[in-house]
Amino acid sequence: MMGTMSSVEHGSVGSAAPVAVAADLTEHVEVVHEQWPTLTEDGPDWLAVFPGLGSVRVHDDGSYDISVEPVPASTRVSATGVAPTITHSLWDGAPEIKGLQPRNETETMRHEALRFGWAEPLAWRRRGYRLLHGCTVLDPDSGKAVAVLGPPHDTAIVVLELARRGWQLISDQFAPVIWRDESLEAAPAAAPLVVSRSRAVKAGLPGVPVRANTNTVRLDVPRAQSPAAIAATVHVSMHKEGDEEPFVVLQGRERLTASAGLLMPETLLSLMPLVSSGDADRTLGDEAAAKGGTAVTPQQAFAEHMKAMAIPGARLYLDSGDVAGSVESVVSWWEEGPGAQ
Amino acid sequence: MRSDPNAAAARENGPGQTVWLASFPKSGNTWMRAIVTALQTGDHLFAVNQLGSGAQPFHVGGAVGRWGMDVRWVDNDEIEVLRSAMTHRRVAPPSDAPPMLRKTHELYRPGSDGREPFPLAATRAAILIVRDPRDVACSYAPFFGTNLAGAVASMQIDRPAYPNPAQQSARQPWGSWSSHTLSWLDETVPFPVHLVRYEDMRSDAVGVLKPVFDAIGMPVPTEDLAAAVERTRFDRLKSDETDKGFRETSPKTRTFFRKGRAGGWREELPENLVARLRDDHGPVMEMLGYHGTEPTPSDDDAVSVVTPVPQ
Repeated sequence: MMGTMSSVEHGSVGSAAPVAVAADLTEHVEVVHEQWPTLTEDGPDWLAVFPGLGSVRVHDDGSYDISVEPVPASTRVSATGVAPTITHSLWDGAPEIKGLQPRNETETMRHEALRFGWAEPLAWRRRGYRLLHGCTVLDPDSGKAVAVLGPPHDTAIVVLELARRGWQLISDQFAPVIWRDESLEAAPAAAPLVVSRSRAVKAGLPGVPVRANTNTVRLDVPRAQSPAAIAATVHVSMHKEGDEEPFVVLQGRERLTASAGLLMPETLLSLMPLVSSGDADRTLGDEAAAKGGTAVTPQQAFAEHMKAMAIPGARLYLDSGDVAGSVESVVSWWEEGPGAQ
Repeated sequence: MRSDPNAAAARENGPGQTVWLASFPKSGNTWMRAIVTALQTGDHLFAVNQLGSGAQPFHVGGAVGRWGMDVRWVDNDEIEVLRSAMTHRRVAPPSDAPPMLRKTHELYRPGSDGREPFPLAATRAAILIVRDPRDVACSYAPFFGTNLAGAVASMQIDRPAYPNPAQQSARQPWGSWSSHTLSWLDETVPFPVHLVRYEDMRSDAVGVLKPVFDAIGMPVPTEDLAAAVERTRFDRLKSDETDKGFRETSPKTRTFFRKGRAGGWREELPENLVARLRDDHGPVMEMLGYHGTEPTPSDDDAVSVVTPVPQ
């Protein structure tokens, strides 16, 4: 096992005899197993450990260290026993990787899994960014961005079609964003666009597996290099039989609801412990401290909702048999409305 | 073959908080969730798109909230580890804590150490909802965009299931209709499994569910349960779906709530497919009391508005 747990310990959990550690024994008990991932956020560094894969240490400035565990011996073609530690900043380009090995699951794959799958999302959070359940894409003509929200496999279809039309990916899920006054700004993230192998095949694109044993592949698409203001949101889900209006500009109650879904789930989660614990003496500040400073007040949550509601939004029922047609409705709306203003 | 399928309910409750709402697809799981949701919301707003208990354990997208992790970067083995870890999230609650109900269509299987899909440590009990496979076939076909023969064939297959990290999903094996049922009633399942027949719920939901809810630590006054059942009458759920849509329906159909009848197969299923189901699942059907002599559905069961679904 790697790393040192400061608030939880790994134990062996059989089906009948859990070994549990709890910070507060009056509440539920958190059980951990020696094979399970852990995230410790209560120290100066955040420490994330996935036994068998490696660990990530995220510093308070958003930089991070990654330590890769070697592939288990049983799956090795050639083993060196090297577990390289690579340190680099969020803003520094590609890291230097040592100890690459000629086998299916390379150290690069494992490093990138830790970097893009774990270190970067945590690093953005440490830098005060929020993570959207969606992608952000840039219209180079207007210099403005659209947030494409929904399940990753659905949003990727839209992103690929927009890329075909010359748009640039700012960030795949989970896209980092931050409020700059009244504007929600999308930050360019380093992680590549990843989709299922079958989606890449349908798109006729050569996907590169991100791990030796997965159906996730990475695709090269044009990338934006600078932050951009989000001028519209599009909520994507797959078209179903009987859906009569595949594209709808959201107004009124629908827009209120959709904008709540933009950022509110995370906000509400930060408030939920107050509700569920029923502990009137526990303040929002306590919650913020426990969560690394991410909690907000109800007033802040409401104000954020109002700001999110000011961003024009639309809902797209994506027709997988006519992706170009589906996305055309988005682009037409964009060019006449949010993208032209 | 277990001779008394109700014997599985006699075990002691497990130490956890989760109660699995287990069923083969199209067997009444959503109706059960609607009743539970209506119980929890009381006199407040209840709508079909607000059902609880719907987060299925194979989907591990919640890892981003728990560990800040984008699951698409883990591999096929690691995602099974994540699933078990997420299921274990809260165990050993106070003994009087209310149960956390959670839907699943999967087979029961024990799994290996650290990769248990339905871990005892996190589990209090399971409620297995079964429905006559002849009615399941009639509902399964339009939902999954196949014809009746295709539905009957699918229900017989123990299809392999694969992890799908790209869509944040671990394996979700359903098994065949028979193997699904037998897996949950197996003597090796370490927690109580309360067997509920959809048909019995149709005729007396309060009488069927009251003792089960008591057993899982969710005691409810009979009148409250009766009110919840009334609020979730099939025609009301269907009307709600017709008005507002239902986000849990499949990509193949707009209509999730189709007929909801017990015995409707007599009017829909050709004799050869009835015979095929009997050949495929006869022993388990007999065990559950599906003998083929059940009464023809009454007019009370009929729903006037049925959305035609393309086959």
